[in-house]
Amino acid sequence: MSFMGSAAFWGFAGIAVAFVSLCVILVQVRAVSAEARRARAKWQGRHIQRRAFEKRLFVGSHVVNSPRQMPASSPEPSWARVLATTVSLWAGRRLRRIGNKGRLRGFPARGRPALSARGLLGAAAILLPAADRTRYVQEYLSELWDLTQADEGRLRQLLYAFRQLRSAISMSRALRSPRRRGAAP
Amino acid sequence: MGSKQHRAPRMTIPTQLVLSALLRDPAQEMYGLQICAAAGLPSGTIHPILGRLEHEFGWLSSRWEDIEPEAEGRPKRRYYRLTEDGAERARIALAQASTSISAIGLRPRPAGGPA
Repeated sequence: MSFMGSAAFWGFAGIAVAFVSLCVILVQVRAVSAEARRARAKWQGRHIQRRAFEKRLFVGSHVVNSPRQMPASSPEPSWARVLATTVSLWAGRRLRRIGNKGRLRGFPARGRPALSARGLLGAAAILLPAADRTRYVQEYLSELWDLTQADEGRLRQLLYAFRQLRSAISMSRALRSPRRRGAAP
Repeated sequence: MGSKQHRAPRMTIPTQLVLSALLRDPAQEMYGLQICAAAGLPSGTIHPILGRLEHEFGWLSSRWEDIEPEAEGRPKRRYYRLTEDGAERARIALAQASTSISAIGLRPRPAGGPA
């Protein structure tokens, strides 16, 4: 392989590794932000209950809750978690747009493949020729769906998607071969 | 320009395993995960091989599954099958392979195994 080809290959490999690392980080951020949203909702709910309880005490109205039933307050989520929530919501929308080219919207939400795996497949499809992109995204998503229905976990789905991403360059080379003839879509 | 029909892919071990799995029953159509299970290879390995065999050498034909995805509740699968010419050339190429999978004790798994 010539120097330029080798440099291009390692450049692509570096970009792919950086992208995969970013996807893994975003998955973790998303998990943290979901927990942050739940914690915040729980805090807000308990905060309202606590205020209502204190108001009843000060007003002198009939106290329904005894002090033992007063909900314990939990700490408000930090600004870091709020920022992580915002970033993950934005990243989730972007990944969903890429990963949904196979049109999984018409299928039940429960039992769908993991969003992170779909995002990786979308990234793999970007490296393919434009004429074949839709076909192979649909094919990969179909196989990912089969893995999901076979109760394969998120890790197995991510492994499948990562393998497709890793082989996307060789796949692209095969599809761009000058001796290729037209195949049925 | 040489004829495409007389060219053969490089007979690497994964290519031989894929061709052996497809030659088990040339008339049978198989989709990606089935070929993975039959050949004993990960999916990231077989898709470039299938792409080369189909688009570059014309040994495979593929088609979408004839179902209604909304009715079935799942996306369509892509089925692959050896063409008549492709099956013949695959047998010849396997027989002429310098490093045969049978010589080193590799065999494709029975179809229908775990992916």
